[in-house]
Amino acid sequence: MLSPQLGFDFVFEWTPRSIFLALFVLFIGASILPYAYEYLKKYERKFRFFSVFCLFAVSMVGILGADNLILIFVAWELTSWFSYLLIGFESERDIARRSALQALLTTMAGGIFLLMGFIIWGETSGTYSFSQLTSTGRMPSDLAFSFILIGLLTKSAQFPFHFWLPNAMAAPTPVSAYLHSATLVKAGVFVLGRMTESVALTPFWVDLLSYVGLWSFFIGAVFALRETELKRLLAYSTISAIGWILALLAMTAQSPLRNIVDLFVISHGGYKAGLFLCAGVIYYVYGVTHLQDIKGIGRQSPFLGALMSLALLSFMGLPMTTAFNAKEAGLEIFLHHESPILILLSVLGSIFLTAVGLKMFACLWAQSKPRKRIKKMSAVLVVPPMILILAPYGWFEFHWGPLMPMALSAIAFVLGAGLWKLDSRMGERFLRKNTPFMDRFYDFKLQIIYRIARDIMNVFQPQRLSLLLLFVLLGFSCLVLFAIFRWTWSDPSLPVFSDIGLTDLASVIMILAAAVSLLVWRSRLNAVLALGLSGYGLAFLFFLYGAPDLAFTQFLVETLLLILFVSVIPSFPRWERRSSPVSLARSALVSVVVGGIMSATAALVLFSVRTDDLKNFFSERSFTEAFGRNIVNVILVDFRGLDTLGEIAVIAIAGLGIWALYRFSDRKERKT
Amino acid sequence: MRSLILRTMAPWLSFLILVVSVFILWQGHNTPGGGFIGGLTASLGLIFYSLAYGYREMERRLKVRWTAVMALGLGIAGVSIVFSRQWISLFVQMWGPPPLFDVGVYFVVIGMATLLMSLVMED
Repeated sequence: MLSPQLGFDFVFEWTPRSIFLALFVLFIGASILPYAYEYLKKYERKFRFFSVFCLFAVSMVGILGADNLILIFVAWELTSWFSYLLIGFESERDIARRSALQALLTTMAGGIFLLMGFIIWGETSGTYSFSQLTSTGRMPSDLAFSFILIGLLTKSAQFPFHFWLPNAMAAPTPVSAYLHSATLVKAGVFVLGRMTESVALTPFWVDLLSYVGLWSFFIGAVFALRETELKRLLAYSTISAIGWILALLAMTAQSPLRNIVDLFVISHGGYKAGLFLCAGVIYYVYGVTHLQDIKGIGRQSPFLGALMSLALLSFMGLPMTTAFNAKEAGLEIFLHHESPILILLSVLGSIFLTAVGLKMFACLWAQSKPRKRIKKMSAVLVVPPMILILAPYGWFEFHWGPLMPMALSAIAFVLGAGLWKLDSRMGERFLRKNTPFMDRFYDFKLQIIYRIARDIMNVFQPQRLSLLLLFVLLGFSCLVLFAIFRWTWSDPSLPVFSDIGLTDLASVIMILAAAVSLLVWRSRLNAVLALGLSGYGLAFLFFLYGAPDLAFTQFLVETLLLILFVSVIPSFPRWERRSSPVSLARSALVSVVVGGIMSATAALVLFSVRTDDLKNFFSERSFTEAFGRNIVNVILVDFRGLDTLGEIAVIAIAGLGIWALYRFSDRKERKT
Repeated sequence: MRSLILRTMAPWLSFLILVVSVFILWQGHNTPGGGFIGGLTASLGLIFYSLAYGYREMERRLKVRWTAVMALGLGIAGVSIVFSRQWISLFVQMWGPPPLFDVGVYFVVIGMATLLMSLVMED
């Protein structure tokens, strides 16, 4: 195991099903790559795009195969990050940046819930191994599962976290086709599918998931009908399709009917990615994205029109398509569930989806005058969608399903056609823009968070150094006081002050004199020298009491500080006393309090630690185990090496911070 | 400040200080010294040179970026931690140099101290 304390291990566990789905993910990616190459020819940052695109595919495969909860989470977060980079690919556009950030924040918030759920699950079960956890067949506790579910639903853009997906359509089309139809949004489906393969859900969760899923199925379809932009319309229909899949997953847990879900995942991934790619071709060749602008494009580019029509057949789930098989089987399962609301929601959703499909179909083949082509159509742009749309037909089996689902489908189709007629009759009135309520709610939340953060920062990070120091010092003293009161004092005996020599006294007096004179000097140079003197006195004390390493370090640091202070003095203004008596008194009070607390702590520590255990431990082992005679150094670099690594990391970060402050500040402007 | 005496002595003295700093680093495992102290000493040597010739000149001669030096140090320290004690102990037993980890500390401290000074005193 890579890290037994954290339960983390880099292992993969492949089942036939996960291999199949991974191949499906990679297949879609591979078909989209040549398309993307052609589509993005004019962009400069192609290299970045393709590397992120491929990394995304890898992390998607990681979600499917990882056998450790933490590893699944890592892959999960990676897909969020790569999706952020891909949505914001055209980073010079405001809308792309905003959408990318929205997708990132939403899915990351869900990711945190997922992590919490995984941790609760792993800690209560004693293992983080996914295969061991699921092989018991027990569900995670309700709390853990609800957290996991929030994560899954945000990533899969289900109600009420659906708002980020249509906005994510700001990404270039190949990204929408790959991430936001076939893979990324199905991450939730994949994880839930892997869990429910052997774990049975309790009835409550089955109900909840199917209601949430079918409600998303319904509202996705409704929003799709009201949307006018082609890609956003497809995004809404994706929300609806994934809702359907999630509901099916919940109901087919632990049953052989699971294959139907996979069938649906594949057929949906194929035709939806194909439709996205076709929408991209329309945008690439004709430069239009809105539904009323694509009227008659089927007549002008018959091959593209035929492809899209074929995909729309699957979209509406008409007979002779794989989607039809999957849909019929799904309906049958819902019927078995015998919940009228679920059946109603699924039929209503189907009605709306049919209307959407018919509307797109009618738009494609409507009469209109020819449009101007911006760019030439090329085979590379048409072949990938063709492959993707035709591929699911490989799983098509011809059979008439049972009567009841067929009847429901027929009713849905007829009513959908009626809805489409009504919609086109009503015309523009129904076609008005969606009011993205959840989207505005997101903005509202974000603003509140910004405001709170700003208020906190204004209070605790004031622009004046003296106030800032006040907060830091008082906060630190409070922590120390807390520690002192929590401490159990074992041996309150007084330390022995017997062997204090003359040299000790001399250096103490030097330190005190330097410290007092600091307050009195009216020249900066003298003050700095006095400060240095007190530091050297301290170093001398260290040396006297047998801590040469410490003394050495103290000397060097004092010297460095002295040089630093002396060299910045010339750039200061003339010395004058500006502080009011009140602020002086405040500073005096704070320094006395902080200094007193620190001295008291040092003395208390001296009182209480009377054993030589640590000392003996290190002096015994430093040479036998770490081959060094300098105990201090051996502790630093060997026994406590990780602590030191943390410390030098802090040093490096502080250095970088100062560097950034100097390089990117407006200091130079202020000077002139 | 930039007297002829200082300018003449600075290269020699700062070279000497650098050598001493490596020595301090080297023997730190057995006698007082080590990466932190060695790094501070080395950066004092570099600063001494810069007081005579200016930080620009020092950086121009050395052709290093201090942020990169810090990164190098962190990298060395991190690698030596990852490859755990056995390797370093072997290293120590065979040649007797300080553990690799201390070398990382040394570079981080040099980078930080010299970067800080050169930033503050550059202009």
